Amino acid sequence: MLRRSLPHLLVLLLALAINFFLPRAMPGSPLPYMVGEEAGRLSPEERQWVLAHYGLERPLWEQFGLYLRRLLQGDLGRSLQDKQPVLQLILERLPWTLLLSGSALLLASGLGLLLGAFAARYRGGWLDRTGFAGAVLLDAMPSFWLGMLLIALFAVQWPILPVYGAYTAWANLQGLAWLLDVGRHLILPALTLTLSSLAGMFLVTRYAMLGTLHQDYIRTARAKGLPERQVIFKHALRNAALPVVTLFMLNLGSLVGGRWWWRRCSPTQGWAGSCTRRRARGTTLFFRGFCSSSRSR
Amino acid sequence: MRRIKSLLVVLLLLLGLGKAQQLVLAIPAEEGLLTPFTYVTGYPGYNLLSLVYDTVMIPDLNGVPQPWLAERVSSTNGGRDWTIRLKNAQWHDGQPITSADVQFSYEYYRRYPVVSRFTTAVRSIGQIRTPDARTVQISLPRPDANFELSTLADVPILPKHIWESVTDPKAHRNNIGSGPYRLVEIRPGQSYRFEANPNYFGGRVAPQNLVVVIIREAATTFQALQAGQIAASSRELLPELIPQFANNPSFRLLRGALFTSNLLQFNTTAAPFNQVAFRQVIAGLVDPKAIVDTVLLGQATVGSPGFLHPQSPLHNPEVAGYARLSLAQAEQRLDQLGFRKGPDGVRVGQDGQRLEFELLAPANNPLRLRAAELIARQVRPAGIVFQVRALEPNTLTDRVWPEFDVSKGRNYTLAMFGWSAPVMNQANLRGLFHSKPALGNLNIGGYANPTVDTLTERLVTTVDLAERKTLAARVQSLVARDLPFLTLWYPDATYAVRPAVFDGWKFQRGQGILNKFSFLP
Repeated sequence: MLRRSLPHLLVLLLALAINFFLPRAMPGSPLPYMVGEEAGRLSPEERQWVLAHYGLERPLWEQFGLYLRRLLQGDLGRSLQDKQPVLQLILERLPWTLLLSGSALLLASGLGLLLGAFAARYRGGWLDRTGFAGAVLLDAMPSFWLGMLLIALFAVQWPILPVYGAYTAWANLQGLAWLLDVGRHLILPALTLTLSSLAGMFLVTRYAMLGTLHQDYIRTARAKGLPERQVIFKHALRNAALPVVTLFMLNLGSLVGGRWWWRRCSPTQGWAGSCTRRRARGTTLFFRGFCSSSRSR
Repeated sequence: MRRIKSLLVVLLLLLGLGKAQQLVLAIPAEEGLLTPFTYVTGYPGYNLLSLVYDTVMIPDLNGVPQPWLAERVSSTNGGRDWTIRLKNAQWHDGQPITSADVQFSYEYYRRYPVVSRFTTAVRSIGQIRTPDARTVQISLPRPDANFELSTLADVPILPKHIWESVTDPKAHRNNIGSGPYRLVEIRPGQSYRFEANPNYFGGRVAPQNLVVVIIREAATTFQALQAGQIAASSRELLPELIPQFANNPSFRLLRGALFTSNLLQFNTTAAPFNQVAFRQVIAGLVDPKAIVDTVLLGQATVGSPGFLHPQSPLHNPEVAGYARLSLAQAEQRLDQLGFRKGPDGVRVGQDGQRLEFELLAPANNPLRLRAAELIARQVRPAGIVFQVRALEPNTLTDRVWPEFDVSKGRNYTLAMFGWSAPVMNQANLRGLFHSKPALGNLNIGGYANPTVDTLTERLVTTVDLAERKTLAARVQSLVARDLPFLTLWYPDATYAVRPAVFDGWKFQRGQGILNKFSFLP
């Protein structure tokens, strides 16, 4: 067990080390992240004091040790920009990220699977041709552009959906009303993400199904007189699902970490939105805050 | 019954009604918990903070400090002793604001220096006395001409009865202040909600409810504005969008000057930029107006050679524009300086130095990057090569201003740089031009002129405005002659607002429309 876990632990340690040392290897002073625009006005003594306050005057190995110890204790430190505990920032945003990415993933997977299966079954028919062309088109379309297009159409040109927000900021809704409100805000971003991911799922399913539909056991199932629906969904799709499930699991992995670009213009600004904001301010502060604000103050 | 009411609200929202009943304003990022220790410094964090907290004085719409929490502010003993008489005002919880609160605040910021932006602002304070509940007396060890603007009009006053027991200011979440608005709700990553302070000493606050939503992407912000889902934004309109909003009768545009600066910074300690005559040739070749017209589509004010914005109270109007040189004139001057054209058209000095330099520009700032390219093109015909190099902003700052300490030297020849609005607001000419690192803490080019040193030292201790203007005018004239950097442009800001929802907006010079005055009569 230990022998099996060791490589994983080493990879984790390596990832943490890169996370810790990379920002420190970057040129530039960490002072602006801690005191903002005051950095240039501090006296040399005050500058030293600030660095000492955050433990940045200590040797690097000592800082790294402290960082690891606090991580093990579940203490991610405090965001230098927001001055709030990083863990709290993550937890506040995580549900929205999961809601958006999760719903888009489920929708894209379900639709992709269904359309891919039918396209393969009726290969060369109008559904296959249209689906294939649509998938290629969607795959080639930059997702941020698609998002902006949908906003322009359904929020500006025909103002039926909101441009921004996970819910109506000023309405104190509860229960079903709140759910409806969240759902309404979710439509555009979830639709964009769904359409962006749909092509991959559709194409993978279609190719997997095409391979399966020529197998002998499918011919046997048909010869036995099984209904076509049962042949497709029970026998063919089940066996063609392996690459589809693989793709689904890969997408599941990026559920939290991915979609940064979208959330920048997305109504549902979750955790990843918080990351991009710092990037937009010209720094990888979240990344840096995550590893350098190991001193919880 | 409650469920039915909620459903009705949702129906109204779905139909797009009910939006005009409150002011919804967009900001581009989260601004922290909005206490003086947890807000995100800069714009618009400080502007939101100032809706909740007050200062003893306030810069008026022209940027001139006026009494605010104070009824009057007077100084004696050459600007060393200050007496503040407070108004009869209240905190949001109904407690009276007293001189003890003012004393406590300034001392508290000093007690926790590393966690507050206001450290340097209270550094100049010596003693604080409170002879009665509404009088504060402050003694400064040395006169400080910027005391009103950089301390009294900048440092938020805290309620002593709430903060005196707080030992970790960053963890404290109580937002009770005295400002025109009470912060009633923060929805992380989504919005801030404010309610008008009914007992505000500054007058009736409108609108009653202010919702500040976070929209990170500029394009999305302007789409929300067009769709009527927000009534205004703290974000300035992109130049290319201005005609579109100007032609739409649903919007009113508010324009004004911002006090950030954009410079072509010289390292005046490195040859040939250590020669004033050479810098003057560069200034004669570079055309800031062409940059403003081309890069900023005219939405900026052309830089003044004396650094200070034409709308700055200390601006010297006699310092107007750089002396342009024709190509022939520039070439003649370069010949006189001993720089002869080589076979490849690049000039070479008598010591063999080619006039080929690296011009650093921040990779995240397309305007400065594009301006750098234009500048390179403008000087090239005279046989001078500026090779534009885009750097990650931190790397650039580290080369230009290592460790934010000018005594650490510099590792560049030319850079596109700039200063934030407070440098202009406070006319920090000593910081920019004094040759001693301890005083000229922003003198990143290593500029040295003994007369400028003397004048700027006098400037920071001179309280009389007329005398300050004279001193500042002389500094600007000298700087316009010596050219330690070229001031290229100051951005202008244009905001689009929906007057049908709220039309009380006022443009505060150098700050924009998100300020207290917009919400007061």
